[in-house]
Amino acid sequence: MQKFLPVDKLARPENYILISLDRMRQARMDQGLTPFNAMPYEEDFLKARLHGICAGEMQAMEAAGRTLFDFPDAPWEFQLDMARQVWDESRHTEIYMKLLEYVGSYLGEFPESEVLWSCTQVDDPACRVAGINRGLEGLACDVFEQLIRLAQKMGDPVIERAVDFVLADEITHVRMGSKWMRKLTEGDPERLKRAQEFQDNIDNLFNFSGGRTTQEQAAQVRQKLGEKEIEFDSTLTIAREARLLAGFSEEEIERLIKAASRSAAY
Amino acid sequence: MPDLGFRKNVMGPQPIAERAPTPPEMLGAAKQFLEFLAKGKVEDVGALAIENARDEVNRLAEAARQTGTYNQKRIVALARINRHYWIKGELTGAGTKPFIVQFRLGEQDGRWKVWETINLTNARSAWTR
Repeated sequence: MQKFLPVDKLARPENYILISLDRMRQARMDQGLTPFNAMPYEEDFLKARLHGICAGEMQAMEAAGRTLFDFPDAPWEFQLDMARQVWDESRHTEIYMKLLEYVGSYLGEFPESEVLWSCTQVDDPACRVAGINRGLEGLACDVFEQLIRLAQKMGDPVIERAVDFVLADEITHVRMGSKWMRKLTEGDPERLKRAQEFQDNIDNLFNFSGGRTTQEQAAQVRQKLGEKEIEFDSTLTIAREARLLAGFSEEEIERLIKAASRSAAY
Repeated sequence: MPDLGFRKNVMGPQPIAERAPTPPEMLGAAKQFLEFLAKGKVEDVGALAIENARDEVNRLAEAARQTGTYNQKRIVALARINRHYWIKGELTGAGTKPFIVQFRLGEQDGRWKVWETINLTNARSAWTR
């Protein structure tokens, strides 16, 4: 079996639509939308956001499994943690498939992009966990915290609790990533630096042109969700509290906020 | 005998929103596009594309024409981004290798047009840049 599986080898059923992020962005821009994923003020926001997360959970499950397979000489405890993560992500996929049904959607309603899988393309397990567990799962903390607040505003305990259950796992995944990034690079500051840089690249990729900010500073816009009209964040916020629980330091969070306000990656 | 879980009998949270309906006119345009491709009608295929995509669509039609002749077409998959739809279609014919195409349809001036295409024949998946 091939190691370090490239993006074009990821298996999906034939009735799936897979496109690159570039094409996804183009399709949005052709309709006069921002190139980012669906934003909180868009009509399809909830469906599209939950769909993106569900596809992300699938790719996270595959990524953790691949990390196990790609690094057979890694410590046994590392492999156990990755196996545990595969189990977690598979449950998350099922939870989000149910949530999609709940909001009137289904897996496959929107295309799936390769962007998360592309973040796995590195041959050092320390970089892999820095990128996936700290970069992407840290991003998941931000996305989930915002969804929980949205559900609270909607008065919807189903979404609120389901996402909260998943967030609890994501926090452990970030912690796992921090632990293994440190352990695998012990006594090798160069390797640690490379792992941190790999994570920084991923953080920058998801900074949305500097449009991200904290919950407190996010501009509020009116939006209609089903029958309800609420005021909510105009952009994806950075979840300070969830990130602190996950083990990110204040300094790391501040750096992320500063980078988010000046990034032009998107 | 207890109910062991037929979904329709289970009480619990019910969907809070409806599924978005698929526009029948869009499906009609998709089938027509596949029909023209199957019959090798390069000019008709091109006429269904927006101006910017015409060259790309013509190349695709030419590729389909050269690959073989097809008498069957089917829509394999469909997904949307807002009001643009990605469609994966397959053309098959006796003794001819299946021709697989993925294309994006969106409305322009009240008509469904092709905005871009990907030839998936011989490709493992559509993770093409």
